[in-house]
Amino acid sequence: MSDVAHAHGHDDHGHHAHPAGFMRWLTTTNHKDIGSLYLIFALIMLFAAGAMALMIRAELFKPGLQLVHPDFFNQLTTMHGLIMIFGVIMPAFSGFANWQVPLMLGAPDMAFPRMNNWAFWILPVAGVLLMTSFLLPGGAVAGGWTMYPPLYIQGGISYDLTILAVHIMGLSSIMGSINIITTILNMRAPGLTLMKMPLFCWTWLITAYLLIATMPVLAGAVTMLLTDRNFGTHFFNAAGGGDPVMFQHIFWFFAHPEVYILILPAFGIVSQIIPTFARKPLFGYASMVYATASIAILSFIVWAHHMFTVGMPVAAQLFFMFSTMLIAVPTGVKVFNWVATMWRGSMTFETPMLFAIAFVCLFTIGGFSGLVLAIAPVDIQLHDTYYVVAHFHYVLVSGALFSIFAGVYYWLPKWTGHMYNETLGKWHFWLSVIGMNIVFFPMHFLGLAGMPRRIPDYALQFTEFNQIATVGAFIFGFSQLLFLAVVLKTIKGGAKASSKVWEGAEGLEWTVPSPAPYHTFETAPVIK
Amino acid sequence: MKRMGQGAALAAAWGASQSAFAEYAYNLQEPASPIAAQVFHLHNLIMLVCLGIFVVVFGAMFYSLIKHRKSVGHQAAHFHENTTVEVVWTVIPFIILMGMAYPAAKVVIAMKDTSNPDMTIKITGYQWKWGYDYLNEGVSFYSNLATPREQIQNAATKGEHYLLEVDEPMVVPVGKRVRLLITANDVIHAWWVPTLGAKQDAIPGFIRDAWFEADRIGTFRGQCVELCGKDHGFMPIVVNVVSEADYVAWVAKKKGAAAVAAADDAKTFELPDLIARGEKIYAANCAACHQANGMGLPGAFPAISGSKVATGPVDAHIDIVLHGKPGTAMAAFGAQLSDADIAAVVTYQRNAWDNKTGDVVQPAQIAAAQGAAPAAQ
Amino acid sequence: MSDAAMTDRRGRKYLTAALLALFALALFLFTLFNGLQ
Repeated sequence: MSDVAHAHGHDDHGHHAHPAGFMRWLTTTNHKDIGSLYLIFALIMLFAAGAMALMIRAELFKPGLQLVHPDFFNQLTTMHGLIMIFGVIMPAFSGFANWQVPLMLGAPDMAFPRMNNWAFWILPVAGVLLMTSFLLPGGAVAGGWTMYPPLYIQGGISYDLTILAVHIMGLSSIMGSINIITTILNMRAPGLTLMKMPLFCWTWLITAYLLIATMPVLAGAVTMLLTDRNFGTHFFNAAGGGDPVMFQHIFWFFAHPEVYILILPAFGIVSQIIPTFARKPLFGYASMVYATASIAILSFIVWAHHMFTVGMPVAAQLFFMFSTMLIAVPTGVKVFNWVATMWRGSMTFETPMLFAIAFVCLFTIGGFSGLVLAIAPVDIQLHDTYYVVAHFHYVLVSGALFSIFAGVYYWLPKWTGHMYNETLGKWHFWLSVIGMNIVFFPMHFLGLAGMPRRIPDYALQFTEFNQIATVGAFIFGFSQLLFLAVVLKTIKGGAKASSKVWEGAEGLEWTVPSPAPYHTFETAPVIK
Repeated sequence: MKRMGQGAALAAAWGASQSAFAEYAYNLQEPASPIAAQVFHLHNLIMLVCLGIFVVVFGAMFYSLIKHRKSVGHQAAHFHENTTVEVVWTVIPFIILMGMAYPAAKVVIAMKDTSNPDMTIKITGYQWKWGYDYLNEGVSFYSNLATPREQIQNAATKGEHYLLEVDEPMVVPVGKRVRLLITANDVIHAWWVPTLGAKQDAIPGFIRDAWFEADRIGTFRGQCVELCGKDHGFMPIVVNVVSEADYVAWVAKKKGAAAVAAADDAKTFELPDLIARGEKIYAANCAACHQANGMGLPGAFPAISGSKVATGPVDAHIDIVLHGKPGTAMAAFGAQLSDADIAAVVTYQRNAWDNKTGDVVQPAQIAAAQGAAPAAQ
Repeated sequence: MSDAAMTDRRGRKYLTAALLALFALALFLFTLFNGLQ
């Protein structure tokens, strides 16, 4: 991105010096710089957590313990989950928000540029805390990313440091969300009403509200874990009058909206890409807004569908089953609207569109397995099995991650001024789609057949599907090196990108040059 | 042509070898209880609905991808809303969901109805085994993984029921409504037998109930399904469903064995007997953490070979085994093992590997220590 | 209000931020007190 630093033009800053090199990145308050920092951080974390996944799949290639101790295996699965959620998906979407929201709204920057800098830079601190915890006595956290007590109370020092890391990441998200909401509500260009702004801004507005409503609850839950571990409280200890299940209620009250936090920005990205490459406006813009808002509101009343085996009363089982099934309705509306956007369009299939189409299809498969799990009696048989692992990887890998790939290919020419290599992009796409399905589709069968989650070794009848999954994992994992190569290549050079980049692109970000100048919209455009 | 022939022959050989013992199970296991059967059919119904919706929606999408593309010259239309269509595709899914919700609710209510049981068993989850208490019959025992560690460590061929076999299965009569009272001793576990359709989290400090009724004789296997630490994958469940007559005989046998074990607690044993018995107890209860060679796992589980506890004062050694170490994974085995078993395993530890104390610990010493309060931690 | 003034409300951004932060803090404390019961 070094060429961005020089594209200052004549709206210059004689009144303050511009640091270069490391100090530039450390002290930047520029939304484009910070967007890039988030994305780079997410990419590094993707490879770290991805390596853990490959170790997991390598161990699971055959029955028997070949490579790792069961305790270390639990550390790998826990850390893989924590890092992918908090270190990859969430920062990547924050990176998109930082780059795109001001550009899409015609704003010069985010509302609080300095807080923006802080929100990012505490993340690598949390990342270091997590990664180095492997080296501490007792190893890294191994109780699952869900951190259930009493198991979580038994762990060593890394469990306390992980709580600290979770607090830090939560603070980062809260600061980022305050920034995003304030920017969207207060800094839109004149004439850009809420119902005129790009859907990506809507999905991030709603996501930011979800974050503010749920991160403090997670902070409360892990604080209680910390005091139970160290200060003699017994929030979750039955012997002291507490209740381990209360943690689950509090945790999932946060974590269910969290999964929508992990997907709503993806919906936004895909809603920008499909109209561009279909050369047709998004179908049903207003419904898309209402559907997203409904999903967000409903997400607060479904949490206990993660707890169907805990032993809740019948009324609770029924309530949470019905409310969960209800979320399928607005989600379905969105899928239909994307298909309707493609319908009778004039489509071309550049890499961003390929990933977006794969998203629509594969995320829906994840949605179907989610619907199966919503049916409580069926969930009794599938809870804590590989069926659940299949479900959430379909929605998070071919859902969230693919939307991130789509967005990067889509906006990289705007950010860098260069077109990426389309052939390499397509190779990355096909290897990823095929690889991903080979890993995760068999996991549905493993779960149905009775294979539990979070086990390093398994009974013989599960061997074949595990072997297929492992082969797929290595294909998928190594294909991401191709993505890294494409991104690095595009930053360094490539065919010059125009302002509009894509024939069907609409929106304020496509009215500025490529690469986008360091400062844009210092005078607000007027929208008719 | 020749290479194609060779390739085909190789593929056929590979396929034949795979089908010899390949397991490609695609659906839930064959039900062995009415509830499991209801769930099986419910799942089939939902799969059909999902398949139907998938075909319709993605049929339309793939048609569009082929026909509505720029490269075949299709011009983009400009419509971007249609209220009627939107209402229709909101209402129809809602109706489909209601159709699924009704049969599902019926099964929820049936699963939760634990009334009128024919018998009750209390199940306790431990790190890492299950305990079964037949409350009416007065039979109690632990159920440990029986797969030898050599198989897990790939030093021996794996048996047919690898990781799904136990030393003491849970036995129930066929056709009887069995109520399960499920709890845990330390962390959250979960008891699950897929073919019986019963799964319930085992929560320390709370008792939750579940039930099943096995509708055929057979052996049904399951596993712990809530992450509970290191050996979460190594604490399976085996339920033997037998005839009424066989069940009565089994209860009598267990009661007899219990009487023998109780008598042991009053006996005095020779050192070789204690060591032999202790080695078996160690393998089943201690080796998972402290390892078969007594060296433990540095940073996680202490070594016993050469340790101060196992070569120092006997009382301190007995105290840790009896009362555990709060705040760690070291459980209080006083509640789980008989006096004779604890005497044997302590004796074994003090005379195995690098430990050569020559100490002999008798059940009577354990009984005395049971009465004493645990040492200050 | 004119269209231009309606959408650009930079002056109110500190109020927006303060309200959101307060909400977050209140939720955190509420969670802790809920656990204490």
